[in-house]
Amino acid sequence: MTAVPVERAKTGIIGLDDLLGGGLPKTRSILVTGEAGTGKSIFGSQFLYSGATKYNEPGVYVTLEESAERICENLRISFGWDFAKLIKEKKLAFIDACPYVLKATMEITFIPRIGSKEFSVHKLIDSIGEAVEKIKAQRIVVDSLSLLTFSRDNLFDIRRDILETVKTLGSLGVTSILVAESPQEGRIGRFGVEQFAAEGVIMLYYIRQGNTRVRALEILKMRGIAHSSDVVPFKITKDGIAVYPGERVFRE
Amino acid sequence: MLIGSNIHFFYLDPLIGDGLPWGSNIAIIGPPGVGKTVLCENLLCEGLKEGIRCLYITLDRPKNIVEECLTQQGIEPREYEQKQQFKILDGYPGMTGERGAEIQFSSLTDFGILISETISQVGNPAFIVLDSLSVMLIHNPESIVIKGLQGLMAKTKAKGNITIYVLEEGVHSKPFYNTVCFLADGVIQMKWNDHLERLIRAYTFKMARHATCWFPFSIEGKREFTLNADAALFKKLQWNRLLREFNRPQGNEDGNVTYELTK
Repeated sequence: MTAVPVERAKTGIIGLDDLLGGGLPKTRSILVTGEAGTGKSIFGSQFLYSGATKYNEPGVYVTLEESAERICENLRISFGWDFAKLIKEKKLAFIDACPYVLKATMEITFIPRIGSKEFSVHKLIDSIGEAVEKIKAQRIVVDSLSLLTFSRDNLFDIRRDILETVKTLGSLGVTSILVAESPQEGRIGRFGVEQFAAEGVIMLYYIRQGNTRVRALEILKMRGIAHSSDVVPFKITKDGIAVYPGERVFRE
Repeated sequence: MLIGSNIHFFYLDPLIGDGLPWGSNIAIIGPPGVGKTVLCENLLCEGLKEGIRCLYITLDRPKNIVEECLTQQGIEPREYEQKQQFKILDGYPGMTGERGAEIQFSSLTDFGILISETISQVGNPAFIVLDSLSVMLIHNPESIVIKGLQGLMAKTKAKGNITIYVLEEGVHSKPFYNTVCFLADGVIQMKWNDHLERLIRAYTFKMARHATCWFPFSIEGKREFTLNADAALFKKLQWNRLLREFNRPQGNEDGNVTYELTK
């Protein structure tokens, strides 16, 4: 018996695809978790941007925290990524359920605000399905999974919502990145159940060293592929995230 | 320049007769002010004139001072920088925010990344000087610096570079010096004797024949490193090739015979 190689979705993040042995496993849901400021949203955005511009894989960005308009603006300022253009070219679609409304100048799918009575995980999943169908998307970013389940008051409901989201995304045949915030370093997600539902976990760190901080990442789990188990440094450059597999993180 | 071959520096030939092998890490250890930086500058100038790619990582002087010192020695560092044969990586902390250093000291991780990137910009193999390693120890504990140093040494060695690490004597712990000596391929020691004369020797060198005896040297006018070699010493060494490069001996005031190095 020989192992069947898993098809890969290249992240386009310098150095990361090497660590993964080619890229993320296609059609799987990967959790990207870390504290505030670690670079989770940039990670997700770069995954979509690379897919749309380099690998002919359109993507859907589901935002629950920041308005789509503001995300596009920030990415254009920081990295020169023109998401508005990608939306026009049908290489990218936005689903916006963030709790506040800004006037949209782009084609964005608005769904009931998160926190409102009308919002439900099912409605969100339905609109993701429509968007995937519409632009033949192969990649999805949900930013963030933490907010998606924040209104639930017990762990069972949280876990069920997450599982449902993960399984539905899987059935759509897309590779998804689920962004999950971590309240403290080393903790995976906010609720402690996210990692069990996801098929892969990438942890981002922002480590304090003397009077500065260093960013680092680790592939904690990635079902179906052999991957590096090193904690490696990364930087946020003007071109996005750059991972340095050959370098080491020095820590006191 | 082939990896595995050696490069002969005029100033070091009497100490390390086989020249410095490509792919080696060398520590220069000596007390502050003895002339470690001047020796490095002399080696850099010689390397640049020979067409060797060079990188100078300055941690205790700003870039413009380094450039000035090199200019004093008769080369134009900016010309070599334009030709992309030479690069100075400025790691001197800026003054009152006017100019920022390229290196963030308190993060050895960032330092490692930056050095790797800069080395690949300069190209391999290159002659690299890190002046001085001791500055890293002001901001990081010895145990961390040793880890970082080991990684850096392995990296530069694998790329076939010659890397010189300048280290101040008398400010770190004995185990630290011992570990550096164990990690490095070669150690050049410098010291003052009781008459405040400067002395230099090749303390150890893994891949080249070397003289472990002390050689007197001085620093002349324009930051010129000058070896004041003793005739008897050279007879002992029997490096005929080297001897041919010396002038005829002349007696000095004390009646001792000295040889002057010529270029």
